[in-house]
Amino acid sequence: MEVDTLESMAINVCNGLPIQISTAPQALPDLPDLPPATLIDVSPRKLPSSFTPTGRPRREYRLPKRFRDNIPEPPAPVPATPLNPDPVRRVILIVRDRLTTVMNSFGIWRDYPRRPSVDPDSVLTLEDLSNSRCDINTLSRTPHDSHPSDSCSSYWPFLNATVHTIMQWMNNGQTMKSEAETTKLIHDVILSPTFNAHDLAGFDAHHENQRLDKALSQEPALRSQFIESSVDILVPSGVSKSEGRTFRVPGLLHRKLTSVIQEAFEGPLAHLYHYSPFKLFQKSPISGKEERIYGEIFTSDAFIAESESVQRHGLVPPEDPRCKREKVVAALMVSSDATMLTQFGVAKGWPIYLMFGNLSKYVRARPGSGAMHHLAYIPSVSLQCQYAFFLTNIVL
Amino acid sequence: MHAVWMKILDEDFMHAYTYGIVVKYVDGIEHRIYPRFFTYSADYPEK
Repeated sequence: MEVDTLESMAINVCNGLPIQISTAPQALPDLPDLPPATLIDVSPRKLPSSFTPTGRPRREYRLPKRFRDNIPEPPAPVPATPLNPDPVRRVILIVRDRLTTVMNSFGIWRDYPRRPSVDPDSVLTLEDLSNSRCDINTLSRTPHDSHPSDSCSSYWPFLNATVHTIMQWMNNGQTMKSEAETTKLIHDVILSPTFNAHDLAGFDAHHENQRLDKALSQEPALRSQFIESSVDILVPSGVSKSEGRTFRVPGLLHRKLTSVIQEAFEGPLAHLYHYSPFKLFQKSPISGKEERIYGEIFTSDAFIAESESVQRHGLVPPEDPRCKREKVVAALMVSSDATMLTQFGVAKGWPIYLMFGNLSKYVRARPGSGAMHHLAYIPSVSLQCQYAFFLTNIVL
Repeated sequence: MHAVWMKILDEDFMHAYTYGIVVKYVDGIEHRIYPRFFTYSADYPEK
């Protein structure tokens, strides 16, 4: 197409200025490299259609706008297929295995642009879908759980199961002694089949708490995954012609983003992650019309577009160029806000959280679901730093 | 805040952003995961 246009334009130009173009290389032999681009730039429409006897371009007379009558016309027709198409043509055939599910009793169905490799919703139970119990333990466990409750014993790090259940009851977050708590103590701890009074010989709650703290401070506890580093910030001096000073703020705790992603996709909620995006539709019971339902990241247009782009253009690493693994998007959702850690005092934390849009919001937003990952803890610029900066300004 | 993000978005993450990370799904099939940012929520002082 492009070649055709250029040729036709070149012909037009030649028709308009036959003498000048043909004679130009001969008359000016010093300038033989007249760039062809200049010829193309000359629009044929701008060339005067005729000349006066003196050789000047004839003036075009047009009616004033108010006397002009523009006759309506249909939009421009589709350009006809060129008779002689370019023989070298590349056709990319993208085969998508589109899949539409059947409607459920609410009239909701899914429309996958590509056939999904996994359907995490198929393992959901009725309790997962209802909000009657908001306990993490009701979340369906992975059907192919390869490492159930770790390699160590279920009562780690305590000596036996009785101590474990007692300490679990003690540290359950309830600090007030209440009727419900006492009932829980009797039913969950003392009447539990694993309860054995002989195991409690020499029991000391303080020692057991110390044992727990010691165990948690060792590998692979959460704290050990954080890297501590410092941040350099450039603070302007506020005075013209004097450069700002760089302050080093220590105490940034952060985890490696890649390891957090890896851990999340291989963690206990991994079987609920959506890998293939889809559109959710509902047939309205009132109007009978199809309506698109928006509500999750993995049903959004942005996810569908990104997933498509990653599957088609996502690069594979140079060390493994023949990688045929399915390419999937991990939808990162980041949030950060400074929070007060205690009701009294000035203990303050400034965490950055990371969540995954691949997980349904009904799982993600459940308290204690473990779907929110701690990415970093930001240090606040201390008073000391502000004071140092104040002093510098006075010296200046 | 920007300096903090410069620390978090390290070279390993940028490599993962371009070339993906291989993770294993629960059924044992490996996928190549490309992280993409969809939302970022923060209040005004952190903008």
